[in-house]
Amino acid sequence: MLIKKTKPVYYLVLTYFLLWIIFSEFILPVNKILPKPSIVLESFPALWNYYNLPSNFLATISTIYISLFLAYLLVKVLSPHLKEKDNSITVFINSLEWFSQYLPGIIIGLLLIFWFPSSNYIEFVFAFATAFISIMIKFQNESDSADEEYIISAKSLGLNENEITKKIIWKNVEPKLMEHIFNLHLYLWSLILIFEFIKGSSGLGAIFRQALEYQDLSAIFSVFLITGITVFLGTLLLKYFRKKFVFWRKI
Amino acid sequence: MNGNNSILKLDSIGKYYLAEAGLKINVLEDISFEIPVSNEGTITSILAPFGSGKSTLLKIISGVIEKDGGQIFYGDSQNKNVPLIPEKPSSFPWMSAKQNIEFGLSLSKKKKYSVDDLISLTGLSGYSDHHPNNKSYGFRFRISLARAMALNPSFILIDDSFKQMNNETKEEIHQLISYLSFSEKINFIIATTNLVEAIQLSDVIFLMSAKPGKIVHRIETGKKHSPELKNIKSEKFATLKSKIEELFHSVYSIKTINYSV
Repeated sequence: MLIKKTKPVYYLVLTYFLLWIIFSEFILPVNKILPKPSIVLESFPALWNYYNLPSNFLATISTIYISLFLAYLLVKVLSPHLKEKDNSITVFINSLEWFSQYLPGIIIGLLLIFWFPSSNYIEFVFAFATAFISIMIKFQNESDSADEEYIISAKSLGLNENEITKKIIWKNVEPKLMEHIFNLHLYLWSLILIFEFIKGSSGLGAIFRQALEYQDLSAIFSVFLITGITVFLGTLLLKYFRKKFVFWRKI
Repeated sequence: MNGNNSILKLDSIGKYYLAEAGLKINVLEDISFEIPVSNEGTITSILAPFGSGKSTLLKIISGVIEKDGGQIFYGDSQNKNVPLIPEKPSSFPWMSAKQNIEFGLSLSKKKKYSVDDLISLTGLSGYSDHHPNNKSYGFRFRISLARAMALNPSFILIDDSFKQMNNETKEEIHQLISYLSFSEKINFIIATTNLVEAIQLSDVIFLMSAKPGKIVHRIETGKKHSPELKNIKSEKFATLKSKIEELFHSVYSIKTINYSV
């Protein structure tokens, strides 16, 4: 029988939680560094009612995951055009990417907040553009080093350039794109939380800002836990997709 | 000149590339040969040393790259795309064996075999749902072969794909190719650096020199009438091997051929 071993890191994380519960609940006095777990639990109803947790939570996760999914899909659809590095679409997007090498993405976000302070969609546009450019650049770089034997075979079978990009090169680079999405996933979470924090109108970042203004440590800690658990579950979901749909990755 | 009586006819094929400072380097020069139409399947080998342009020649024949001179006639076939099995196994790892073959069939304009036929002919029965990633070279080669056969082409090109296989697998694949050529009348053109492999498999061997790649000799092995050629200890095999070695030694540029068994 195959016994799946639990990674030592999970034991360590569990130990941190136990230490937090033991120290802050039974040993340490009430403080501004680690709130008691019981107080954190009690703050959830407040988060629900006063901080509007459900809609803010949905706003953040829908922005991140829908933009990630749509960006991936659009790069896939446009892949034959994006592979060509000298057409006008690619040159334009590459010029934007040039700026992003020297400017942190959030500065663009700041400008967008300034230009469109009351727009409900600007956060999604920002997340989508970030994800799209990132996935596109990764695709372009990886498609240059796609395995030649598949391309030769496909050409000899009579596939044209567009079909080769869509059916062969895309599939060939998909495992590497998937690895890239793991990093992009975390990057997008950081970027969107900061964006929401600055804009202050909706999302988990807005709750952080509000809780900070109220000096509400238990609310900050609760949202911190919710964010951590959601990113963890999101990563598990991505791992599931990788196992299910990109199973041919090179090990 | 036309190729009506041939499944393939090459007439003065040339290929060059431009090196630094615009220097023109000839990879292939005046390559001409013909594979006549036959009622039986034939196996033709292009035996040449490493770096002689064998792969380039096969890519030109298959339509993967353009030639820089000469003409190619594909007999009466309208389809100028000839399936090429490259050196590394090329079955798509994101598809199962069956899906790879179905992919080939979806591109075929004149289907001859069904998926099940191809699975059975290439020895993939029981493995049709297996994916080729992390599988042996032999398994991946069988899938590539079945996918190539799905197109029902006049001939199939194989670019030195056997050298990555272990001896046992290589032997099985050689038997499979000989069997398909005999029973299904499929024509193969195989590029190889291995003399023994060329003798054991081929009906015709073209010797090719390097730098630039040129066809220097054509040898009929008479394999169909001399099954003992498969036995490397037989007198016929030894005689033919010596003859080819002598021909090779007469051409300076092809002395790097692999003579090992």
